[in-house]
Amino acid sequence: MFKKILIANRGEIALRVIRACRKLNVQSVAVFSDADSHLPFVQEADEAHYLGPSPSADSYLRIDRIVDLAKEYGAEGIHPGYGFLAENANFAKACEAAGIVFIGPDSGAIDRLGDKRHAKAVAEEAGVPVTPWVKCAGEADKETVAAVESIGFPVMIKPSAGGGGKGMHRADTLEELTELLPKAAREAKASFGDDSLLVEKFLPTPRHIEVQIVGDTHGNVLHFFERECSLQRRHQKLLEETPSPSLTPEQRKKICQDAVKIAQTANYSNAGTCEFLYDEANGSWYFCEVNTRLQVEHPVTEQVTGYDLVELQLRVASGEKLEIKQEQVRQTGHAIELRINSEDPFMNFMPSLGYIEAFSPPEGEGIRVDAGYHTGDSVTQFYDSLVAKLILHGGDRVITTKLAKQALRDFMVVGVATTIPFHLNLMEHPDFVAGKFDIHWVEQHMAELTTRNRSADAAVMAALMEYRRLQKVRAAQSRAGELAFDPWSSSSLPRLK
Amino acid sequence: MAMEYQVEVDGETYNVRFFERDGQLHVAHAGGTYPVHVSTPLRSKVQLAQMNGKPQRFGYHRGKESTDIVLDGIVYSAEVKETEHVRLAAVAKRKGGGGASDVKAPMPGMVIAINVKVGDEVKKNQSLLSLHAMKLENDIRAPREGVVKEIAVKPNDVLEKGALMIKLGPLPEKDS
Repeated sequence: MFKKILIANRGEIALRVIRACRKLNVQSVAVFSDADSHLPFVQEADEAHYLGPSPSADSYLRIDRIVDLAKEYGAEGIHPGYGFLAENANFAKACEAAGIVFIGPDSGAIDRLGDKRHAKAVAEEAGVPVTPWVKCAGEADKETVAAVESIGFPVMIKPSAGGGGKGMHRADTLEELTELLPKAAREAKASFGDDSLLVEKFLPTPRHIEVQIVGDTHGNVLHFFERECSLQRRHQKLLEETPSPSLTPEQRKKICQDAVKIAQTANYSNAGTCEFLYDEANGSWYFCEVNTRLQVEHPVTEQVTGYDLVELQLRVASGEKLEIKQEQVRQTGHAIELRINSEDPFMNFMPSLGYIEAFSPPEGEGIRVDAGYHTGDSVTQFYDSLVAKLILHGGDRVITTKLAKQALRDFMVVGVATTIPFHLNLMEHPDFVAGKFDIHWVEQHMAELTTRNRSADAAVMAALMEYRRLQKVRAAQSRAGELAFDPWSSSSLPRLK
Repeated sequence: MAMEYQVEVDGETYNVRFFERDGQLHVAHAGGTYPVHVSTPLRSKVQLAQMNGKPQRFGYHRGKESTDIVLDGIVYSAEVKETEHVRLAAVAKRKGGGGASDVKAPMPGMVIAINVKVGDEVKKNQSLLSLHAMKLENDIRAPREGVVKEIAVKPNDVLEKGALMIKLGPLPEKDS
């Protein structure tokens, strides 16, 4: 096992990695930008070093600085978290070149699987179904048109090197395709430095189901079951749960085996996630891509399986063999993760920045909160809006949903607006309760998910607080008038110690 | 001593009155009359109250412009005024034709066009400027009649919520 590792990330995920380090007796080194210097992850790490100015490009994306800091302070490994450099093969290569272990797959696997086109080739080799697709350049030449027409519209244009939904465009007709290809190529170039595209058959109402895998460097690959992540807005996940309410036990077994086959074919080590689109109507799924990192939503998997995925990452990265047998990994109960983002659901999810006046998460059995902020911290414009992840674990989906509602009501954040009310509405919605939704469902039901019905109560509370404030001011004034000399509040008398 | 407030939340006005009866604070509003008791200090951002016998937990933050109440995770921005003050202000306005008033940005956004110039006399609800926010153009209208005293913005300015946009002054005294 490592003696010391550096965490090239921030917020809740940096804290998550610190917790795993403590458990394994590994020293943790945090690195931070100007904007983050007071955040909990900086306080909690065994060491913390300044990385650079607030913009990510000057701090959390600085490969050279991060590797230099790791060398300077004797970190044997670097955990990249998610986002930032987590799926950057050049970063993995820079670590490898410096003799530091990149806690993730090797750079070759990131290269092979991080590129969607290569990933699909791997899946085809593994005998796992993929959505029909073609590679294409930034214009609708004859060859491209013929290939796309053989797939059939609607199609989705995606950057080959992309992720997180950036630069994706839907085309329903040949005219739209012709118009969108050059634009998509330009966006791909700007976002990922690579203008190659792929065009893929678009499934109108799929669910997003992904499978957690962990491989070691001795050729063993295990799956840790699936996560249902269909509840998204603009390709950003808002809620994840496991088990998926839409799979039969046979389907679950098969989709998890498909993920293991892909990982084995790619000779994959460390934690990764195989994403599938699931067409519920005909019961078939198509492999999309592998996320070659720890996912934001990994806690739901940890809650139902009882395994600490970050611990497993550290173990396999340090060369240990996976001692777990596949049949030992079981799903117990149901887990739901709700992303508490500092966004205002009533203002089209606009980021809500500023000082957190109060941050009071719920506590209790079955409740886990992975938060990156405390009372008195500020949410700045430089990074993502994830403030906390509320993770619930109960005996079944009904119990877990009930627990989620109470936990959401108890979760108090004052100072910034959050997605808590969105989730409360979601938990009550009959389609959610029935498990009937696809990846477009949230956007189609946004009006029902953003209702405000307690303005009258809020008015009474606001008036009540103003009344109390006035009473206090008056009381202070009258005390000042009545008591010319108060020995208990006078500062001129010697104090008793 | 009884106190009455006018509270604006989400575009609605609520009348809320407080009074003491048998040494217990009571509230009276359209939703009923009942005792209230708060067990948390005023400075606490998370408040615990007994309202009509039911425990209520809510977030509280008093800002410069408004009082924020957080209930079921929803941030309600409330403007609380003593009813007596509102009444006196209305009387003063009737007498003096209104004082100066500031037109502020109701939301963050970008100024698209300004429809008035300094010195213009405007009527209540006349369009003053349009503000692009939340992907929509929002018409900002005069809250009352008056004269445009100052225009503090220009087209393409990006404004924060609450930024001063236009100052209105009273209409000049007319010789009748």
